[in-house]
Amino acid sequence: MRDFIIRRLLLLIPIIIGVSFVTFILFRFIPGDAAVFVCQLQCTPETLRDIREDLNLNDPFYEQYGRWLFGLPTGDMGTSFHTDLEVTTELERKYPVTLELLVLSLLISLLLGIPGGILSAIRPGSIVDFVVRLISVFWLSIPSFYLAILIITFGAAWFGWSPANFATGDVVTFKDVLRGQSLMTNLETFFWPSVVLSVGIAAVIMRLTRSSMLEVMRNDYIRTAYSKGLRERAVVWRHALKNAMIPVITIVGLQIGGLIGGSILVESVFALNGVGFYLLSSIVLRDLEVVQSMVLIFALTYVLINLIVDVSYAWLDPRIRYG
Amino acid sequence: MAREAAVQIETTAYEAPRKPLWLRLARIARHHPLGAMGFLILLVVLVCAIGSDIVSPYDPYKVSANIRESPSLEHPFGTDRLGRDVLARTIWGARVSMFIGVVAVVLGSIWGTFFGIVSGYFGKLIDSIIQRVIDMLLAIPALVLLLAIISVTKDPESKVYEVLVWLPIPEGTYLGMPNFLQLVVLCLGFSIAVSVGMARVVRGAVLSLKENVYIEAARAMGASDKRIMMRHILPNVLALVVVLSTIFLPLAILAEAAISFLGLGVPQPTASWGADLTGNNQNDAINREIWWVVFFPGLALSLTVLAFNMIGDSLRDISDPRLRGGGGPGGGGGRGAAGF
Amino acid sequence: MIVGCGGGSENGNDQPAPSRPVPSPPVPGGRITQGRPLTVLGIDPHIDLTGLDIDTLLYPYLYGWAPGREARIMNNAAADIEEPDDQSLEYIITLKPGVTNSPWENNRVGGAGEEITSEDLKASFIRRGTSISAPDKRFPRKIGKDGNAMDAAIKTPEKYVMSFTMTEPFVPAIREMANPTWAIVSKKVIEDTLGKGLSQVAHGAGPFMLEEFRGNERVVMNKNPNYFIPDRPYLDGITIVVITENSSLLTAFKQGQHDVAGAILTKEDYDEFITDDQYRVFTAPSLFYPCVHMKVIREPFDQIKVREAINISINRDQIIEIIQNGRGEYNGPIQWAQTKWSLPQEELREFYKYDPERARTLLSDAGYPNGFSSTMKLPKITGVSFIADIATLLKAQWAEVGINIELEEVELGTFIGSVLLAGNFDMTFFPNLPYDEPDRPLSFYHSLGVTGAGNWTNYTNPALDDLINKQSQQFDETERQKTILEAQRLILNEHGPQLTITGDYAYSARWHYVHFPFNLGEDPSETVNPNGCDTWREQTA
Repeated sequence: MRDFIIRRLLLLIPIIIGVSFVTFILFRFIPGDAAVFVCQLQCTPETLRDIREDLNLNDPFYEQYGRWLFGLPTGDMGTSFHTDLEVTTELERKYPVTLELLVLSLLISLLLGIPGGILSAIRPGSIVDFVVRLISVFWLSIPSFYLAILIITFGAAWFGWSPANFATGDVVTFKDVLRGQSLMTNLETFFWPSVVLSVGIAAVIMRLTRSSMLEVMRNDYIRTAYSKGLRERAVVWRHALKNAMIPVITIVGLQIGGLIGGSILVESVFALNGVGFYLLSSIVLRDLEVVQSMVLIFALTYVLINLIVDVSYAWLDPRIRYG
Repeated sequence: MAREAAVQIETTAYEAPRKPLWLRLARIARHHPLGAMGFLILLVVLVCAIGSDIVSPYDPYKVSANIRESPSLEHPFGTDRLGRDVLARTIWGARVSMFIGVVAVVLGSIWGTFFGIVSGYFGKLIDSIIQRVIDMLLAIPALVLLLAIISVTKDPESKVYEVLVWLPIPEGTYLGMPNFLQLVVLCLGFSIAVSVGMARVVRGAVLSLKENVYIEAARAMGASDKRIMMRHILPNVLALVVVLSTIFLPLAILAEAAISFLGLGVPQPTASWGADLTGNNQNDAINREIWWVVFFPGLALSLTVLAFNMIGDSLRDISDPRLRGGGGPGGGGGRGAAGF
Repeated sequence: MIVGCGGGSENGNDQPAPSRPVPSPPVPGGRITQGRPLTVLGIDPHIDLTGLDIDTLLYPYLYGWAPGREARIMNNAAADIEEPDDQSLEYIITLKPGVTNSPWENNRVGGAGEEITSEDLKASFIRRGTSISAPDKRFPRKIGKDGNAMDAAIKTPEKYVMSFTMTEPFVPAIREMANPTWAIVSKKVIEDTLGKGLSQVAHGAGPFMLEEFRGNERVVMNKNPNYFIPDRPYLDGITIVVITENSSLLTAFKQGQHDVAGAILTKEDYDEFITDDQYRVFTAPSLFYPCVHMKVIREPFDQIKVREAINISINRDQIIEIIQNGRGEYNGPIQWAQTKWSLPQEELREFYKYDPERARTLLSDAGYPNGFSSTMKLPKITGVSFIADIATLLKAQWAEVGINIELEEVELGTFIGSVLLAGNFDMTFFPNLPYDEPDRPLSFYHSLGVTGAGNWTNYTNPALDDLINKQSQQFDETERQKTILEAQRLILNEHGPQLTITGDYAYSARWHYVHFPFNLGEDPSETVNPNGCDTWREQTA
């Protein structure tokens, strides 16, 4: 087990290099560069040349890549062409936003998904089952950005509501709350974006919980429990649920990758200055060092989560052991 | 006596008369109402996509002076800020979305199957290399990967365009869709993403197929690798590819909508469900209560994806009743993992 | 920066008399929050172009400008400007004493709390004149062709006196020096923050000082306690909130989260707000003007008949009707909002009369009886999709006469580099920047083009070049007007390389409790103070 973990961790290094290289190559081919965004419609060929010189964009590509890559072990993830701010500084400010968004989304999706799935499983074929399945397939299908627009559109039209962070341009993060700012503002800011992000996962959880429960409930030991006279609630809680949750947890772990990607869209619609939005705007502005570092972070997170999921899967189910 | 009794008695096996097709379908529909609903929705979408010019009451690109009219008898879905009929744009949006989705998935299946078979069959170094590349591409968030690929392929100066110029692809409006070449380029971009996912799964299937006895036999008989791959592996993988395509198709449609929503997909003024959700339409909707310009295209998009999901569910139910209601990772995980 | 301040005497404000009385005198104190649709990439006044409006709040300038009267307002750092000779080649600038830097706490950057002197003015001139990204260096080049030449040419005989002599007369110079890119920055600050040092920070002597700068989120500014005009600014501070979604900006304004609307407003917004006395709305002709550019050396645009056909098959009235909600006028080579220099509206309407029949005839004569096909490239500017909308209308209008144009939207970054500067287009459509003086709009037709490096459309017309050069040196306004009108009439008959379409109105909105010294469409008075000083707000609960 330990060897397995160590081996996988060691594999991270070539993955880092690989992902960063792929990103680098990919983004190097995107037309337009950071220079044009400095002067925009006022650009002249000499201006562009000078700006590119200033930003070291004229250096050969291996130099640019190398400079960035060898900065990584020292904790230097590059600097934005436009703001001269270091990626690490910006990350420190932005990760609380995305973190809270992801955590809240996960929580909400669990709260929505698991009870629904259980309900559906203990009454298969009933109206409740049908309704739950209908809801879950709806949630699975509605695109996150459409839902976000609907919420803002009808929120504004019917309730005169608009997200709290539009007022100040600043998002009250959990760190700010710890420092004494309003918890209500924080929750108000993150509630709807988290809901939007959660429905897709909630649907998956709902469906998976249902099928997993059904599998488990068919098992002999459950019927034994029933025949011993245990009430349904005890059966469900004590025996079925625990075992049913195993595949659910592992699938949820894999879904986190999708959550991370989905945060990009949700953050941009709700104007939340998190990591996802940061990545998106740097792509648009061709802020290449930022893009490279951010993609790397996303990829690393994804790979690490996969690792955790694999490990926990093996740990939870002793029948599976990776040699 | 017994022997004489053992006379051949002609018996005709009693066969129940085969029920007519429509009756059988109706029975399936009754047991799988959601799937039937999905099928109907998809049928409507296909009709809109294929027969846009017939179904649509107006030209979706025709501007008029009736701007921002709310839904009425003349314009059931209302009109947008340039006086264009929203129903028409939604119907033609079906064509754009289905076109991009289908072409992206078809192309993606081709590359994906190719790389999957090559990777799985030859194994060793080629497999390692291809798999590592796929690993890395899969580690990058889907949206970001798509953005990067699309940005590269869309550039008129890129090699992609140089190659495409050789092919007889019309540049202007074709099949009623403006900027046809740009749409094809978008499809190419999406197909790369599709192929990555497809290659991974196909490779897995090939790995297990490889161990089959008849492959060994064929090799023993002196068949070349190419022949084995073409004649033995490919046909067996085809069924899987078709299934995967049906999973990827709604994802491709969603991806196009998401990218167009960000403003980086189909160019203006092409009618696309995603593109109609953003920009000035969004502004109209949120601030001027012109909700219909975003509501209907978005609804169409959601219903289409819904249809695919419902059909997918029902198909899984039919093939394996034990999996009723969700199945494993393939069923629920597909959309979530894409992050749209 | 997108919405140009009205240059015309026409004041389109139909605002009914406010039912809320305006309290007076102004009350000091309080803050205002303003929305903004575009990310501020940087606020270095000499280098960055996306934060210039913010720079006017943070730095002093020589003087202000009243576009309507075309006159200087000597309300800023300059006490006096002498132009001894009649060609205005020499300038002698005297600064006011007491223009003092704000107190900043950064020990690395010197100059905090110190006065602006002529040395600082000279250093700023040189920095602006040699800045790699500053637009239009024609004026500084006429002082000295590079940094060293400028250094030699600019003299500082006394502590508050600076002088220089230009090598050629240049009428636009006086307007230029009031431009937001000509901020006066202390020499110590310049030296201590070499390079891009002022992109994300500010150390100035303007009415406000920078508290926080997050270009894609918000900019927070506080009152400069050392500001040289007593009792100004009234406000304690200004916060600018960046939201890139236009719809969200409007929502925030309506909900009261923003005091001044940052969204790009249209007539519908105006109509909605004007009936509600919670808001004050203003409108004025916009200087923003989108134009069709044609590559005149390529077929079929090399034929004047074809260009004319393209021109008169544009239904400008329909554009005004649909895009501009019925408000607006026709644009000539110089936007109609520049009322002093533009051609008379009746002349333009007559010349650009919509005539599809004649267009078809012209095309036939030119050898295109069935019309022709081409591509028009446009930039994708986030939040400004009226460009795409107008293009869609144009496409439909041209289709009526058989001209089939494919619209190709190109991302802004690619557009500037690969399309515009490379001259890689047949037709292109984009908004020209809102200049309020005639020289720049005319330079689009000059052989050297706007950049001085050549015209993107490859258009050359020596006669026109002469006229354009001539007007830039004519100080007599009547003479200059004649020349400019003559130049425009010449351009009209060429039907190219630029086709100007229509001019729209700009709209601004704020809550009733915010008071500006002058509003959109009004000319600032002679007694107004620099930007931001005279703004005040009523103290609401």
